[in-house]
Amino acid sequence: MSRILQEIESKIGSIRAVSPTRVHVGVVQEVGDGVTQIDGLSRVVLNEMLEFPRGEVGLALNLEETSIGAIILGDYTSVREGDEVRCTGKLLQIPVGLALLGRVVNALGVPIDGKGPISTEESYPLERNAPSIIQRQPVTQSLQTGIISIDAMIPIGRGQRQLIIGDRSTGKTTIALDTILNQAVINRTGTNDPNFRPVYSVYVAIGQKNASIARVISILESRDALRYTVVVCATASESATVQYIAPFAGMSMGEWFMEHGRDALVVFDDLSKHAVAYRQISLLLKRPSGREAYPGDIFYLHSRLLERSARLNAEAGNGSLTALPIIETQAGDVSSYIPTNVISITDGQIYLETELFYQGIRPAVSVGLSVSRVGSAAQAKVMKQVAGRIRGDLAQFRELAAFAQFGSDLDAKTRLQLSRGQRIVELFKQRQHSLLSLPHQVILLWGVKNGFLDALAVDQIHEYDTKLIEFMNSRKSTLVEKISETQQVIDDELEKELQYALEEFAKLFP
Amino acid sequence: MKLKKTGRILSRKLFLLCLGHGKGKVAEDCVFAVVDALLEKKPRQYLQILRELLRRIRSALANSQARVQSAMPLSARERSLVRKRLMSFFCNKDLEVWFEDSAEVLGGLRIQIGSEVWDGTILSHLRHVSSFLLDA
Repeated sequence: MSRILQEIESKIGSIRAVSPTRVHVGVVQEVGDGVTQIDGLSRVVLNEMLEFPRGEVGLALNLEETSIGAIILGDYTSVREGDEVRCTGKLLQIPVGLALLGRVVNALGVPIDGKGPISTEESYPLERNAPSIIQRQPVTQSLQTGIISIDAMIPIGRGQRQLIIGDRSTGKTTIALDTILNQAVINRTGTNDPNFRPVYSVYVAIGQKNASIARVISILESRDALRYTVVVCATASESATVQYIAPFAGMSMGEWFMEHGRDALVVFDDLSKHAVAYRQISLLLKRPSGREAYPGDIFYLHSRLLERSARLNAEAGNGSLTALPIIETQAGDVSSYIPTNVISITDGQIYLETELFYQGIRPAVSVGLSVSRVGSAAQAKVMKQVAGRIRGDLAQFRELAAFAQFGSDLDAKTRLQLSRGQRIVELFKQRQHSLLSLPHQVILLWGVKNGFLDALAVDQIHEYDTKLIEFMNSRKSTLVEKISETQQVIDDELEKELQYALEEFAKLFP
Repeated sequence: MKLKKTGRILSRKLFLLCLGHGKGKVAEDCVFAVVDALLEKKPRQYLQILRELLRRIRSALANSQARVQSAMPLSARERSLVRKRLMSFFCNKDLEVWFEDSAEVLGGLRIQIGSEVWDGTILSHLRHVSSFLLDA
């Protein structure tokens, strides 16, 4: 006890005498639904933190002639009319750093997983400027999702923003979660390589059900992926103000990794709910509303968020921040307001169709509407070599499939294209959370490209690829390692080895 | 009902009329005259215009008045000293200074002019110490 007293006394002694503090104050005129109107605060600036008498914190968002409109972060029911509000002179900041990995936090960076406080050395403001053009370099490194259809046809690079868009229950969160799980798998296997760059993940849940977030966390824990991940929660039970700031908090956490020379991935699940929360706040602040009652700056809301993801050049630390925003459409309408906004901001989209999902094609990726604007620049050379024509083959298959329904006689070439297309579609079906590494994907795609699957029935494809992978892992592990290490194009020698391996397997497969 | 732009412009003009006698200070007789005229003419949204006028007058008065809070009542000499210092600091000889006793500040002075506050009370020092210790 005496030691504690001595410590307190020494700390008090270290405090310098403080001259009278100068603050700006205001008085609460109105409060309701997390939004308050304040009279006074003559020197407040936009987004400044405000202090309320009982410890609540607010952000000044509306600077009007007669009053200040502020949102309250936290419990707004304790704020009363007539309360004195103080300017803090600070912007809202959240803790950032490696200590957040493996933790579940709220939008203010406060841990909610019951594992104790998080001690971080740095804090970043919620709103930050995006990296300038000079600080950036082109996206050339691939980010493997572990999902063969995406890695082959819609490749994502480190530093890219790839939108995942689709109706409810089409597998959007599953794709994002699988990407996070795959980064964890790659991180674990690459720890011995001194040049290896792990990818850290930030999963931001906005307006989600508590049960859904609990499920995500349990999957991450069970796959040992949580230790590379930060989970930021702003659930549906929290106020619109907290849901509004959550993506910015997640982005700031990801930016710390990027600015310290590391690679990070941030998932926003989902931005549709973020837009709704911002609409609610804006309407309560009596801002003029525009299309679909959204405020006029709804585009700027998402553009300033997503522009912060980048790949930095060597001078700026060589880090990267990849963003995977998720948007939920209604009845498959990608031409509505918010989806079109975010599509125009991002560097491509993965469009998931309900029809494909119910046909059993999962992941239900629509090849025609999905695109990666970075493209093969972000693909490993070996993948580009084997997957280069897949998109075109599938597009031809779709055209021919419609034509073949009429039952007319087809020539051999057309029949081959149809057959090949059916097998590619079947090959691209993948169970959730069952990930494929790059070498396995390359082997499968090489096999289908060179006709090794043509002799099989369509319903045998799944069994074939499972057993082929087992075979390659157990008997041809050197070949798998060779593809994994070099990731360069398949030369003649490697092609012969692959040919031999697949022929050997074909004899074993019934 | 929200006050329209024309109403806001009118309330601003009326407020300027309330700053009578060319001194830039709110004059009581001018305020009464303006309010009487407004109530007589009753233009559109006159109640909202009155509320806006009241807000402007309240804000102007707050900026020309200093509220000094202390734990114990100040002596006449101390009050005079505080008044002189404030007037010279703000170069405003017309600054009105109001003195209040508030035991909860424990000691020191808290001076508020408009929305600006200079807080040299013991209470604010204690808050500063507690936040410092919590951060440490």
